Amino acid sequence: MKQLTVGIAGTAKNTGKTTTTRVLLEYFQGREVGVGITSIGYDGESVDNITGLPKPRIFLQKGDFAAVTEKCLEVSSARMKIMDRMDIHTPLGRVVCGKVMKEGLMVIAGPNQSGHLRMIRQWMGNQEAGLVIVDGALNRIAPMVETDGFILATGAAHTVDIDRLALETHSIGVICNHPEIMEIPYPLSSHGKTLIWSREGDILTELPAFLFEPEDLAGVSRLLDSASLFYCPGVISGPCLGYMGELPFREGMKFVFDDPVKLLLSDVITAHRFVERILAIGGRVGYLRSLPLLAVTVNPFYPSCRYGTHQYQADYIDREALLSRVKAAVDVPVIDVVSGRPEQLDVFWKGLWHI
Amino acid sequence: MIPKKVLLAPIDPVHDVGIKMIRRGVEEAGHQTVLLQPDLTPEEIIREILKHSVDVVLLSRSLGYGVAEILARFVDLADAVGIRQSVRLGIGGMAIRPELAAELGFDAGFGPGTTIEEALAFVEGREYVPQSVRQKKEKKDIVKGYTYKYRNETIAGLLSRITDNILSWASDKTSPGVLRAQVREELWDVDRWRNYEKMTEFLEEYPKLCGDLPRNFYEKGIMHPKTRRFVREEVVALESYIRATRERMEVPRLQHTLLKPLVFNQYGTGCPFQDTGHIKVSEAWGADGVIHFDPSWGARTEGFLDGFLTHQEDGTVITPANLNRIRNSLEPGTLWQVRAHRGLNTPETVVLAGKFKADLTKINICYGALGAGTDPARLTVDAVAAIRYAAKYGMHFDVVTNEELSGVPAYRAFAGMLITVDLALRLGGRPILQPLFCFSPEVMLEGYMRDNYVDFNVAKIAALRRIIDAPIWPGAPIGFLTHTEDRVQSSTSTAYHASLAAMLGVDAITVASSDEAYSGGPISVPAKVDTLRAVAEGFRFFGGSRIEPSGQAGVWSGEIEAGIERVLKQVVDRGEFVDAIYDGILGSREEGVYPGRNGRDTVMKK
Repeated sequence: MKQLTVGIAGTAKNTGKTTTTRVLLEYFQGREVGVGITSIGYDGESVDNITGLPKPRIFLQKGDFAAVTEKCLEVSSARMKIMDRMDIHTPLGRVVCGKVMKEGLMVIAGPNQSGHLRMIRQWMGNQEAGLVIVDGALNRIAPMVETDGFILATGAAHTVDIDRLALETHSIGVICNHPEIMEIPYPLSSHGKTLIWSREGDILTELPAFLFEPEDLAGVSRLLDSASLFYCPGVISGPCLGYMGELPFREGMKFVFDDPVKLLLSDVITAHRFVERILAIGGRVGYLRSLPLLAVTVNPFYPSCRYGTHQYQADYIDREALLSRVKAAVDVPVIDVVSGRPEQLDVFWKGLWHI
Repeated sequence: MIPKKVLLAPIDPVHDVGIKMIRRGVEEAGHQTVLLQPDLTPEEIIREILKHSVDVVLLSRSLGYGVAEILARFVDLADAVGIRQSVRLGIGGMAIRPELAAELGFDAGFGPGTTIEEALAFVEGREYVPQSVRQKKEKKDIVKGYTYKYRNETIAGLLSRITDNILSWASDKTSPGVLRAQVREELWDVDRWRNYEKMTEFLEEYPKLCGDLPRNFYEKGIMHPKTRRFVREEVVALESYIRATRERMEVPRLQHTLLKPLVFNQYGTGCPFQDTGHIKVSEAWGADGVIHFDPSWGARTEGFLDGFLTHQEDGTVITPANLNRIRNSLEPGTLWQVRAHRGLNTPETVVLAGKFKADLTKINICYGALGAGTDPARLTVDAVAAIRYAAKYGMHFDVVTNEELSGVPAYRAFAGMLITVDLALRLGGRPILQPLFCFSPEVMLEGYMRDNYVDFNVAKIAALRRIIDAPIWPGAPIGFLTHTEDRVQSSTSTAYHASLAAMLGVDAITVASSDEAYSGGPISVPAKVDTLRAVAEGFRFFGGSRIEPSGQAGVWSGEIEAGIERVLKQVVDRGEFVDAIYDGILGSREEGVYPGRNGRDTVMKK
């Protein structure tokens, strides 16, 4: 069985990342698949760092692998044999990797940047962990490039507007799963600049790697007839995508980005419209590396702040409406991990191995 | 050190004061800085980072719901543009803690109280080693620098005659308390006790000099009904608690820019374990000293029990083991006072306190013989012995005037205090004057504090300073009878009294916990913190500034000094000091105090 690294990304804090992680973990614990876990955030604490509301805890069983900071071990009831001390330093100390020797609750905070997550993934790859779960943090998405795909946890904590949630989820699904994988010549991909080149393979213009304002795209409109490929190695903002989406590029124009995260970091609805628009004019959008959206979990919970006391309390939107609207918006499995039926979960998780 | 290029950005609409202070520190250390304007978007800040090619980024932001996502987005952008591994990211703000910084994806988080040095260590990529404040606090000698010279010669002369009388009267007398102290001093050795050696001779002699309760304990093993021994698990837990607390606590100073007053806080929950918790809290919130007080029945009992004992009610039982455990729990810089002033065990308490190396004790004849119920003759004999032991062990002691609380006017209580002071000086002791800062019956009746609490307290200090050059330690606690069950009011009142004490340049103060007057049981830790925090804020607010008392303070101060002189004359005229107490010259039945009866007829000829 191949090893799979699955990220759990959220659209905001409290959208159910840790609950999804816990359900995924519990499903695979005790099966033939060895499980490894880490987090780019801080999970398993009893109360939320900001709202003070209770949080789900992570229970690790004997034999599970984990990558956590030294301080996590001090406050966890699970006991882990440290196998390696990584050269990864965080505000909570150095990240250590090991195997759980005594089951119990574990606070999980690990590497919080992509490069460091890559090191952990490689370490887990050398162990017997068939499934590596990377719990996310807040709305962070960048480190997910180091996973084979991610589950999106979304819900009312991001916005209580169900239409908006469904639309954004749809956009994320399109951005991640519809564009194709493309290749560009190596020298160009390592150039460190945004490039536009002609059908003949000549570079027409060099632009900054990171496109924040439409002014950064000055001159592009003059190249529409000769341009055949646009490659951006960095981040491109929503306004830039909006601007490019309006330009009359010629049929067959290709737009290549490093990975879907680069578009997800812009306004996802604008990025989605950009993809749709380019496809509609006969163009193509692709990535050097894929990051598929594997599934979506929905959470009706949100912390509402009481006026006057400034204390947070638990509140909920309509669970069924949320589930059905998001299901209709994407073509990947959508599940309520809290109230979903066990057989749904079974199908859901088994589907992960098909990516 | 290689100079770094540091970008600082308040990713916040307005709050950028903290980051400006950090910037100054970073620049003074030789680094180059770029300070951005407030309220830029994450994208704009990323753009500036790329433009300036910086090594370190420090952001500041106050947190609210939704803000975390903005900060996480910033980190994501930094990651996606490829600078995350080459640029170190720090976040600071009021609600930032390491856990949150980790969750947000930063390399470091700086919460409230972050020092420039801490931020600088991060900028320079070195480990931050917090400057240890544990060792900074050193015990201060309260009496140092005082000459004890009298400035009022008339009063000096009167006191000298009274001291002559006391020493002459007591010279051929002794008491069970004095004899027990002698046995404790001569036959009980603290090092042998620590080695679990049985002191047979002591155990043969000591019980014979005790009352029924301790004698039954030694001879029949019968415990006081409200006490019990700690069990082994509790002892282990206590030791573990002290160890764990010590590892993470710091010992701050309360006085801000001032050198004094030292701040004392009493414990005495009845349970030495709980006391230890109170002591650690007092130390961690800045108290300079802690005060041991015993149960009220202890003052009426001839002799001490033994063992590590907990007690159901207020006041912590004095036993060698209890004192030893409490002593060992103290931080090195904490002053420790063991009160000995009022009961039938006064001299022995001083001996035990001395053997366990207490720094201070408390002795007063007049208050102990009036307000607390010990027979005047007995306490006079015992106090002479106690003062000699205090001098021998080098323990300074305050002379409290709490009879004021029962209705004795300040000038009369002060006369009694000065009698003990003069006696102490004659015997080689170093006494500390302890006038009350209180809303006493006298001031209520006379209206001395109708307008303010300042003038009459200023008058007291001024009067004492005109009489003698001696250290002053208002207490005990300051603000007595101004406190209510409202903890805010209570701690605020203490803070104002503490600030007044600081402005008057006194040497020490004792502060109450904010629930001390109304707790209906042991004082609570949060209430202890209330007061210490309030006092610190008072010191911070006023610093070295002064307030101006009204002219009335000067008038009252003259009246107090004249009153003291008048009372001392009456004592001299009465002949015997002890008779003067019985007759009410140092506090009368009309005023509200009575000569004590505990230990009556126990004074013996040597």
